[in-house]
Amino acid sequence: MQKVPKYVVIQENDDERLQAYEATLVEAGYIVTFIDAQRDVFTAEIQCLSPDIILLKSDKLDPHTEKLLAKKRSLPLLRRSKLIFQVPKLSFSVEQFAKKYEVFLLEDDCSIHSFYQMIKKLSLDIEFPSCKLKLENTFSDFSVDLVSISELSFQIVAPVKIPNQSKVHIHSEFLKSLNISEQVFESYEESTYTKDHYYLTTFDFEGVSSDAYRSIKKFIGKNRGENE
Amino acid sequence: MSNYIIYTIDDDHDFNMLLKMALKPYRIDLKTHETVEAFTTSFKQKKPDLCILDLNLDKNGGEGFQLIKAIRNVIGGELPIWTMSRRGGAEDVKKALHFGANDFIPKPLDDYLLVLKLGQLFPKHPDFIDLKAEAVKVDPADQEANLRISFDITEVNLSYLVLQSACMVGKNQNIQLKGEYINEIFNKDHLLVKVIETQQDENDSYIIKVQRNYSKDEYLSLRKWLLLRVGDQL
Repeated sequence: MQKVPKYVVIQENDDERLQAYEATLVEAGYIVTFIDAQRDVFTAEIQCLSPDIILLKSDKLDPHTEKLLAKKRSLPLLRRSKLIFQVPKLSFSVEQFAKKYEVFLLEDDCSIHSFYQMIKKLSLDIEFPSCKLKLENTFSDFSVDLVSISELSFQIVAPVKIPNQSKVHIHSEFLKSLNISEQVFESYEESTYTKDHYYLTTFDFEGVSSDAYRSIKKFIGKNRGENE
Repeated sequence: MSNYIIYTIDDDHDFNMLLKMALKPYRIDLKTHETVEAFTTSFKQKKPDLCILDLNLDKNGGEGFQLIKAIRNVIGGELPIWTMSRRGGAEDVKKALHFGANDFIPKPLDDYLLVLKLGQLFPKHPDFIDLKAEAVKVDPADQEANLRISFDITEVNLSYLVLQSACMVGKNQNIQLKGEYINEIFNKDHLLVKVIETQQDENDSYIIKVQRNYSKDEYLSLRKWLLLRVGDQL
C-alpha cells in the first residue's frame, strides 16, 4: 500500500541546500514547497493546505518569534503542523524555548542526513483525515470490441464485468451506421469471462426503431449471404 | 405457405397505422378494425391466426374483456388472443388473462417487442426464423466501441479513492476517471488511476479502490478539497 504523502513547507534561500532538500524529500515521496526566507510562512495560501511539517529559518528566537508562534496557534489549519526551527547555533536557552513552544530544532549547517532523519521521524505520527461520502456522476470510458450482432442483441468484449440488466452507455460508429441512435443498452445476462481479464457481455436491442431494426436485419442477411 | 393472418381491434386510427407500419416488413396479413361490428364481420368471413384487442374500446373499458370472453365462447381456447392497452396495470393484465387472453402488450407500441413475440408465436414463419439465428461476427474494422461505466466516489483520502459501481473493474487495471467531482477535487478533466483492490459488498455492488502517484498540483488540489470537507476534524 502506498503511504500517504506528507506535505512539507521549507523556508530556505540557499540554492544548494534547497536543491539537496528537494532531491531528498521528493525521492522519499514528500510534496515540498519552498518559501523565501524573508517572507511570511503563515500566509493564507499555506494555511489552506495545512502542511504536515514547516521548517522555518530563524536567526534568533526573540519576541518576534514568540508572536509568530502565537499566530500559528491561532490558525486552526496550522495547529496540526509540526514546526522545525532552523537556528544558527543550538544553546541551552534555544532548547528551553523549543521545549516551551513544542517546536523542533535544527542547526543551519546540519547535514542533509540529519535534516531528513528529523523529517522522517516527525512524519511517523502525522495523520490526515479521510472523507467518507457519496459523490455521484463519476465515470470512466473503456475501449471495447463489438464482436457480434444478431437481430436481438449484440455482444461486446470489455475489461469490465457487467451484471445482468445493467444499463450502460455504449458508443459505436458501427451501431450508428445501422441507424441505432440509442446509446444506453441493457445487458441481457451477466458477463462471462473470456480470457486475459476480458469479459463477454450481451446487450438487448430492445426499443430500437423500426428503421434500425430493418438495418440490423439487412446487415445480418448480407453477412450471412457472404458467409454462405 | 399462406401468410399468417392477424386481426386487431382498436378505435385509435393512428395507432392502427403505426401497427401496420411496424409489421410492413413481414409477410403478415394484418387487418385492423376500429369497431366491434367490423371485427366480427371479418372474423365470420375468415378465422385469423392471432387476435390483438384493445381493452379500452368503450368509456368503461369493459368491452375489450367481453370480446375476449365472446371469442373464447364461440371458438374455444385455440386461437391466440393478445391484448393491448395503455391501462398496463397488473389488474388489467390479470383480468384479461382471466377472461382468456394469452398475452399482453403494453402501449405505446414497442414494435421490437411485438416482433419478438410474433417470432415466438410463429416460429416457422420465414421472416421470424432469423430472429433465433446465431449472431454474425462484426468485421474487425467496425469493432471499435466505447463503454462508459458510472461510479460513485465513496471515500477520498490522500492515499486512495474508493469507488462504488454495479460493474467490476479488475485489479491492476488503469482507468481514466472523469466527471464533475474529478474536476472539483483535482482541478483536472480526467485522472488516470490504477485499481489496487476490488471487492463485492453485501448489495452486490463493487467497491473499487484506486490510487495514483499524484503530481504536486494534483496533490495540493486534493489536499485543499479535503481540508474544506474535513478541516474541522483536524
